[in-house]
Amino acid sequence: MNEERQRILKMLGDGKITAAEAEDLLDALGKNTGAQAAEAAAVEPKPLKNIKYMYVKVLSSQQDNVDVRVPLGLIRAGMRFTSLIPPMALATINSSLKEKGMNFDLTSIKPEDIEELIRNLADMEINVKSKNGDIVKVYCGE
Amino acid sequence: MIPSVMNLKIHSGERFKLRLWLPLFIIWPFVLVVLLLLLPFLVLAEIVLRLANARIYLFAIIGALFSLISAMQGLTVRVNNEKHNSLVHVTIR
Repeated sequence: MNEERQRILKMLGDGKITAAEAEDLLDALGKNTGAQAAEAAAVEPKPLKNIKYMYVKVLSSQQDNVDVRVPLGLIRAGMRFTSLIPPMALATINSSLKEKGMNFDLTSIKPEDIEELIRNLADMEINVKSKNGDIVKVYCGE
Repeated sequence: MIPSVMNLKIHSGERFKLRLWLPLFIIWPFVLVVLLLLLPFLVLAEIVLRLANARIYLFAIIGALFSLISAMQGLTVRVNNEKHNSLVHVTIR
């Protein structure tokens, strides 16, 4: 039993609050701890699923089909290259990205960001269907 | 683990068919020998780059390249057109 709950019960025992008031307070406390638990669960990093590959499938209406299976380790290794790009080149890349409307700083990528990115890729699924019947699917799996 | 085998399959209709099985495990010892032979030059280049404050780390680049090649194991690319019966299929294992 937590401290707040004990205090409410003590107040009820001392006659400072009525049973109805105590019930309301306990309900409010229950809701509050529920919300806190949900918040904590949202902040807590998700467990890494057993995903190994990213799949990219393109099914064209003109029967041009593309099927690519990329190991996630390749993404990780590729991201490592950003730390080896000379600062001058990074500045050029960043300004080019900004020009194209992507306000993204490559210098701010840290190894833990890469891990989080890969972890979150597990839940990612992209399905695109164009007017002419082309289908693009991107997802991760084992 | 570094990739040991690469399969390459190219079909273009009924006229052209190519199927290659490339034993990469044979290439890696040669790459190692070449790297060892180049090592004195690489060390020299690294020293020059560091003295020039160029912030280009050759050995880090080689290490990253090695990890990139290692991570390629399992990569599959398949492009085909059923209408023209053409296919390009690359698998790295």
